[in-house]
Amino acid sequence: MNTLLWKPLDEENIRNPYGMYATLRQTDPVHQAQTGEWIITRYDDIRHILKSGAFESGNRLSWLKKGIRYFDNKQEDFRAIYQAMNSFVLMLNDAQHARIRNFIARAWNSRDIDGLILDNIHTVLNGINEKEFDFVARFAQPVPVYTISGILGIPVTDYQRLLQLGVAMTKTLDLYISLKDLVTMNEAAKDFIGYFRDQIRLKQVNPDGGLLSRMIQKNKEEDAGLSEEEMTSIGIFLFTAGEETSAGLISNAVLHLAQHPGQLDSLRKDPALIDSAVEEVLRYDSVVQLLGRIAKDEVIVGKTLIRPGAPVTLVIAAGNRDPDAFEQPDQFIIARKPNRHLSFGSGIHYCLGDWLGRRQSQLTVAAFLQRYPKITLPEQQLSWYKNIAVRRLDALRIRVDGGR
Amino acid sequence: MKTREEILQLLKNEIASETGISVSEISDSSSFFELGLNSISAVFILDVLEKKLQVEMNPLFFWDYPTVVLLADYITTLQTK
Repeated sequence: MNTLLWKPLDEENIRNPYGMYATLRQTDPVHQAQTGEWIITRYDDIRHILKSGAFESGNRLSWLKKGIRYFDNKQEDFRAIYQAMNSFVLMLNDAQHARIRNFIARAWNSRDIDGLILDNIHTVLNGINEKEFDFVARFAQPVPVYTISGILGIPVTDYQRLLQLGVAMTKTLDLYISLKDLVTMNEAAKDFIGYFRDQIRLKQVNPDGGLLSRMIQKNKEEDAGLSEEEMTSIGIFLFTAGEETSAGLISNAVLHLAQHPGQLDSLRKDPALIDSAVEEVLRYDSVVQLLGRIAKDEVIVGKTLIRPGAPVTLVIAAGNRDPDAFEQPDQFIIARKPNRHLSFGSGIHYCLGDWLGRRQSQLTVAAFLQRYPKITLPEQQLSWYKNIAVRRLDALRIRVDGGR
Repeated sequence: MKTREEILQLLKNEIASETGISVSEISDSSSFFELGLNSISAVFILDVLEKKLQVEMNPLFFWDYPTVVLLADYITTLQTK
């Protein structure tokens, strides 16, 4: 069975998936996996599908719906997972998608966030006094949690609890899951639903300037407003999407900069390179590695006919390394321009929070480098999140010199 | 530790109780998906096997080892690891 091209659970591929991606892209860019779905690895094909009306989102959601019905007969209740995810905007289609997406976009009309992020960076950096520590737990995770909590208007004191729930909800992006995963997800979903329902009820009585309160206000002005269940799901989605992806991006940025001293050096000499450096991290090692779609109509991708109903896995991170789209695709070049990576998607599902992820990572990485004139990585075996869909370090030991 | 034969038998029993196909009609070379399993029932059966055999299952086993005998053989080798 060693002939399989698609081995997404293989430990070696979790550590470094790029060899597998390159083989797929070179030998079979529209590959039908043993699981039946199509694995797409060329930049142009991925971009085409993301923009095409012949494909839709929501494979995961419909799988869960069927799964919940199935497990209901086995005395296993996973309904909370679906309830938590019913308004996850990246999984919706057509009118439902437009309704939720437009609602979020209208309520989330302020992009004035630099002050909030800088305050959070300051608070978190002040809590670090050691010379060697876990960069993920001590810095890359707390800053985005504080930021998204501040944006939503929820108390930062709930940080640890929400962080754990966020990690568990990220499992919803996993391609292949076990019954144990479903149990974990369901528990997290219940907890998350309870938390956001309480917050929403609280803010109905005592509104503040946060996004949750603004959404509640906005909802009162709508003809067909959102239900409490939908609002709760949106809250869970915004929190999880705002936290996990940013934490991953910031960790990946510092990892690759520390592993490429020449690049780090040029960034230190010219701090204005931070914008293109973050774009290069997004391209070189995207946190979101895969996106799922389903074919609505019969379509030809490359030379292959894909039938209606067929699930398609778009390997964003493979497209980002396609030599037909990028020069020296396997080199980490922070000044790279242009850099039209696919890491925020494309088309109608294009990431709603790209500006936040970018800005937060730029400010956070810049502030960290400014505080510590020297960073090095001690000898360590890097441990990655055990799911190929999301590329995020579990931990990153870092040594800092200088600074206070 | 279970023998290869015991694992084969257990696998057939679980598939039979899930699909309603009788054990005698399931041959060693039957493929799971021909037998009517899908990506959802696979999650359930893998969990049952994991509990009964005390071997950690991976959600892709039914695809990577797509017939009764291939999976039984593979689980046998896993037990000795």
